[in-house]
Amino acid sequence: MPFAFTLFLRFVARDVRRNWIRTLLTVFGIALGVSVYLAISIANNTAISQFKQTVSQVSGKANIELMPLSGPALPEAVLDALADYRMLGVKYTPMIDEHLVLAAQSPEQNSEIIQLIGIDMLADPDFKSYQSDANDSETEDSGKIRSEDTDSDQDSLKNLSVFSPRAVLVGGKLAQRHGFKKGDQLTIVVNDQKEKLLVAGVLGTSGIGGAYSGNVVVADIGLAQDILKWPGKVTRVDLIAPESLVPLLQAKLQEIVPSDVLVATPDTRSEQAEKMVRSFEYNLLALTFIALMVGMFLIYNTMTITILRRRPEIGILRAIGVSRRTVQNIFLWEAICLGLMGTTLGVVMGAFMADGALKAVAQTFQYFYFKVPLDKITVDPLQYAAAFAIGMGLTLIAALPPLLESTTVSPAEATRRASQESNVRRSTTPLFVVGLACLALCYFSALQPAVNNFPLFGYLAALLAIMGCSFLVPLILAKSLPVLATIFARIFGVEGRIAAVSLQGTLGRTAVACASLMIGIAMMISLAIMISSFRKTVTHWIDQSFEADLWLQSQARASGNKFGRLQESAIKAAASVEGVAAAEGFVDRSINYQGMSAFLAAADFDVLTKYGNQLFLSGESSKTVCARVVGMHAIISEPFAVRKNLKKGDSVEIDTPLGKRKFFIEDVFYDYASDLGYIIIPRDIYKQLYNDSSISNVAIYLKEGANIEKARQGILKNLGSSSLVSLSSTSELRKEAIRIFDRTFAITYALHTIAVTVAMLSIMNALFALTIESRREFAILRYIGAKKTQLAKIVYLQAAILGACGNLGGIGLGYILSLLLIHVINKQSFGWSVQYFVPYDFILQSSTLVILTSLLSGIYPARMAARTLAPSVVRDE
Amino acid sequence: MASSPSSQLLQIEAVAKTYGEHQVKALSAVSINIARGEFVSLMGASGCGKSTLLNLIAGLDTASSGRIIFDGADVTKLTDEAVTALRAKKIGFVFQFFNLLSTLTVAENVALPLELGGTTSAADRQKRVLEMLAEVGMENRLNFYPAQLSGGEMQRVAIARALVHKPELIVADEPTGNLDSENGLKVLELLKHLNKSLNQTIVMATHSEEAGAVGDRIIRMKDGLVVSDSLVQH
Amino acid sequence: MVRLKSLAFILSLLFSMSPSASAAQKVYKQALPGYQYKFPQDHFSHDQFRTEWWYYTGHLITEDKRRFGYELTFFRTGADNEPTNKQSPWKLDNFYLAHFAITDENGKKFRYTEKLNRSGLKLAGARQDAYYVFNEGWSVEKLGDHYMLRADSPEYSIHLLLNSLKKPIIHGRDGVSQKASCVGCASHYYSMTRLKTEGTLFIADKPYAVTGTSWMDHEFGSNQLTSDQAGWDWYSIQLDDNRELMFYLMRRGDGSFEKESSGTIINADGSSRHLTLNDFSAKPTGSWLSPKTKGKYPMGWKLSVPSAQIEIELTPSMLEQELVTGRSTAVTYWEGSTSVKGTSNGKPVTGQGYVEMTGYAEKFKQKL
Repeated sequence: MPFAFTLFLRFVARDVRRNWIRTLLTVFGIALGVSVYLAISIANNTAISQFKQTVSQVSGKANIELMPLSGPALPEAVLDALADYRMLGVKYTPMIDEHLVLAAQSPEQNSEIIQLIGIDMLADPDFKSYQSDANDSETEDSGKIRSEDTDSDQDSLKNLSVFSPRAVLVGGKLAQRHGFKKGDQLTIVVNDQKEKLLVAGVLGTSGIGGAYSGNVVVADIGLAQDILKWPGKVTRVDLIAPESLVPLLQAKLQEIVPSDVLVATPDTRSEQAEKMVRSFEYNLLALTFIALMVGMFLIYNTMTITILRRRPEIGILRAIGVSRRTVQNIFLWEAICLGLMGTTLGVVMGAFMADGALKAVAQTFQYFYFKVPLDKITVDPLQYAAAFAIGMGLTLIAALPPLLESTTVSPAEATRRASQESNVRRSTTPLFVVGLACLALCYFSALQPAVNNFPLFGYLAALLAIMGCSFLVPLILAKSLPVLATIFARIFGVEGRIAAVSLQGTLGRTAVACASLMIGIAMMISLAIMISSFRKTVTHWIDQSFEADLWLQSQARASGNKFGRLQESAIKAAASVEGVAAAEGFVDRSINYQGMSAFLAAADFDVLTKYGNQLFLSGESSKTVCARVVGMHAIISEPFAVRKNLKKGDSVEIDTPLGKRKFFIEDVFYDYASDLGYIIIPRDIYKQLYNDSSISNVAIYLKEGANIEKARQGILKNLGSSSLVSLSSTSELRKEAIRIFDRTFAITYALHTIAVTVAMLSIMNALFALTIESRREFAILRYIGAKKTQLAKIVYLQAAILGACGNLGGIGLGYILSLLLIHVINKQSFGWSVQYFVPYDFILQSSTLVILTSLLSGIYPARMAARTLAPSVVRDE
Repeated sequence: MASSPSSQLLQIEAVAKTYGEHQVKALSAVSINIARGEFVSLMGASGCGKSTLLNLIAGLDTASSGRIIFDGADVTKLTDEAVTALRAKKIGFVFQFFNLLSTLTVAENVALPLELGGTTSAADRQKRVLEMLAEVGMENRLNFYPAQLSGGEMQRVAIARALVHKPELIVADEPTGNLDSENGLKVLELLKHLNKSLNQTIVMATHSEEAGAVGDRIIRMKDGLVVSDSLVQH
Repeated sequence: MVRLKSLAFILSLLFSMSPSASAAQKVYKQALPGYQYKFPQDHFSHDQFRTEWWYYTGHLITEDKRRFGYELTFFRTGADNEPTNKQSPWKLDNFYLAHFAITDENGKKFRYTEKLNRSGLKLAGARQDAYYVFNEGWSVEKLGDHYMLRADSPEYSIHLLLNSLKKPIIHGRDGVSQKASCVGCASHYYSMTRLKTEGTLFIADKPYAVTGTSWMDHEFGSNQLTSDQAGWDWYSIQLDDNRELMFYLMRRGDGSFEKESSGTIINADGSSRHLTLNDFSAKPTGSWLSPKTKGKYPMGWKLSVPSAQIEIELTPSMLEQELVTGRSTAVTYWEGSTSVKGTSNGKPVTGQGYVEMTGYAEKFKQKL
């Protein structure tokens, strides 16, 4: 080992140092790949662990939970049934845990969504751990209710407690942001009303006070119900049962609670949250893998070139008695060194990028999935370890073929002078066949259904497509470069030919560089196609199905509280305005359908039949389908249909407060508002089943030629000035939808930029290698009388060829990947049908950019080429 | 090519060359005149400075002091561009390791200097390449790649490439160094033939007495100095 | 009486909801002379009074002669204001508190637990139409002639059936137990002084059959404590000659006793006599410094009621019987089982008792 190590230091490490630019490129390439992977996985992990943390901060030691299935809340009457189980040592307490809109506290602020937590302030301390300055400063026994109050002299403040009317505790973060202190008032928006609460104290950061990062208002349960207008309803019931009884009790309780109440463990909620965001997270992670893969090519390329370049020297080593194994080991050390440097740098960079990544995905998580604050990353050493392992692992895998090649060098090669080529040239045809096989498998894989709603085969198909196309590259290049040489010779003269034929001469390297650029570009192209297809589809869908002229909703809902409601009378108030043809009430609630979050909505189908325009999968007109949705009939959204494997003509059974109810599925409608899925039933049925006549929004259809502004004024007047509502036009709605859409995909753009950057590094790296490899040729050319500019021209042409080939391949592979993304991966993940649309202008722009960038990446190698010192090179022989 | 009426093609005047920080002397005050049509053998052991001298003549390296007048122009004063042009037009190289471009065919290799110069038409070029290959006896190997040729054949192609643009001077650095004696002899004969039939000026560096003897004039060097300069009696 | 007054004061601070002008002030009935007791109705809850408690202490013995003392107390205190939402089960009209303590006299272990709830959904309550008071899983309930007590804690649980051997004894004069000289500064207070007890004691879920004797207090009233009272000492004694003695001493800030301090002597035949401060003397025989609260309590007493010919000495069964009830009443007090020895009517007598002392750990409280 000492000998091998010294050999490594002298033979390999010095070489690595001497070629520091290439070493740097390689290291940076790996680093980028690892860093985006780490950043994204930290961001993903933060979302889930924040969710879990919030669960544990709010639910504390609970080991069983009662959760509502038919809506956001369950009837508190279930508590009655629990009383008997106290004998078994079971403790329980109701909870309210719901969004609340905090109104702008001053003109320069915006309203914001915070969390309202309602607890029984008298409940067992095991359920409610928090500290608050409302009580006292004692920290050792948080959760106590104390009579002493030391921080205030005024009697009124002294007596202000969480039991005072409309008095709440305010989370530290929230208090800090708004300067709330004991005795202050805070304004909230509930449905269409502004209301005031009194600050009874500010919470510390432990326990509930730390939940939702301190953006909470904690109220006694009765007050929380008052605030939400939820009499008799609670979000959950938390139970603490003796550990040994948990399974038994869970089963027993499930028998006695109403059928729309689920008896679960706190983990269930986290698991459901994880399931809910899984598709989104994997999609992001898959993108980072592209960057990693391109990084792998970089390693492969660097190592291959090193070993090819040093074949004669390796031959010398072998000739003087160094074993194959030692040769392999010293190059393995090189790979490890590169991997270590790249991965370490990547982990450090990733740690820095994680904040940005989190910011980029936070709003998407919060908008589509769950509202936990994501302002700070959660540091989990495991994430770093995983990123490190992945970086090192992939590096070593990528280095394996060149390492094996290093062992094939025979001592005789010490004396050989001819330029070496890797095995690639010899195996172009077999590789091509393998590539075709991969593509065939890819096709086959793409046809497979999702596994547990997860597009396992879709991702496999994407991987196969990438591998397949990469394997095709060598033969295609081998066949096309000679042709290109002739063409280039005609256009660019001899430099053109030399550029092409020397690429041909180093086919192995050329192919790898091309393939990595191809993958980077393919990713960019496929994402561009996917995003623009998606955008186009969504815009089209909005244009088509948002037929109403005005949309009315409560201020709370407009501020982001999905469950902000309006009185049913708002429909009439809108409909009776002059110029209004019809008003349709719509209400939605989150339900738990077969262990997954989904939305149950109800609409006035009679109005919808006349005025609406839902787009249905069957292609039937909105009128025909909507007219049939009466009684126990429903329509479901496409994501719901895909996830639950349902279709027109099936039926869907949902839990309602009155028990399970089966609805016949009239049709499946296109919907892009949520990937969780919608079931829409007639509102009269909904009102009966859920005893809920409130509405989420009103779609208002105007008469032909009616003045929209006049109608708007009329509606607002009818509703009365005390009602705080938002009344937006369809075009405003559309703008908002597109804004959310673009925000959702912002991270995607960022990721593909990074993948392309890695790909460009790979091109630069290849050009470096080629230039170094071509020193001899350049020297000869210099002898023969080639000008410096001619040498530079060769390098630039090579850069252009690589760029163009990579780009062309990238467009091809990108096309395949975009098909997979749109029709397989996203379809199976989110259930969205997306109309295929190719953004030619983008492809044209990006192609130009790629070739330009390739040329730019040739600058340094070209200068290097031009500087070639002919005598030293030729003499070196 | 009526640029210079002088019979002297090359005048090397007190040229010295030192390398690096430590001022390693490769050449010290060498002066040699070479006339048109001469076949000069530059002889000496490895490291005597003959390759350095060749590189200075070709403008591939710059002299530390002294002048090198090639065809009436001082190479040491020319810009890199001018030297490159000079090389492209007036000098042809033959190397020990042939230095053919492995990815180009025989014909392409030979055509290279003409193409780089870029002045001749494609037809003329083709004609000239064929002519040259015929001259070296490789006309039937036009579309072979270097790897498909024997060492001797490769060197002939290299010579054809050196000649193709009708250079004033052929610089040959150990042209037989990598060949067996039979092939070496053939190459020497070819050079001799070119010298005689085309009146081609040749400067050939070699350490082989046998090869050196082919030239008209033998200049011996040692430690960067010219130690003898004599004509050969054939 | 004393305990009630202190409790009322503390609870009124604790659950004060005053800063809202809109909330209607609740008006409570005063405890005034002339109150006519009626049983079993007076066992029930009197929600028209602000504060009320049902209070059980007793001495238990297992078949293998292990001795235990127990205390199980249910408190109710009414809120200052009418609840804003009368429909809600979460309305804050009454707060229910409970303490449960077990003294393992042989094992020298003392454990206590407390509870605090509103009525909520079957969380706690005290019926006004029956004797049923409960707080989560703890309860006292009248079943025919018997009273059933249940309470549990992580280490101990009790399930006891009590049968009163004497009629309820009404304390004070003219139906009121006066606290201070002011009008209405009083409560209604009665006891069941000798309750035959049998049932099960669970030690870490293992059942032990127990028998013994218990004492029950029930008191309700609405007034506030006067501010110059520093604490109180309360004694309940069951003598083996079938007589019982109850006495409380209210200590003023200046060290003197409130002159309204009083007691009752109950004879074997169930008749009783009111005792005034002059009838009674208690001399501490030692003291104990609480390591937890640094409160210094008198410990061990010589009691003398000359008019009843009682001269007895009380020895606590263990020193550490202090309750720090941070969560519910926020009172720190010592409430412990004691053994009794001395003379009654000139004859040697033994017996058992419970002693309660509050206001000795006040300094500790101030520090908080």
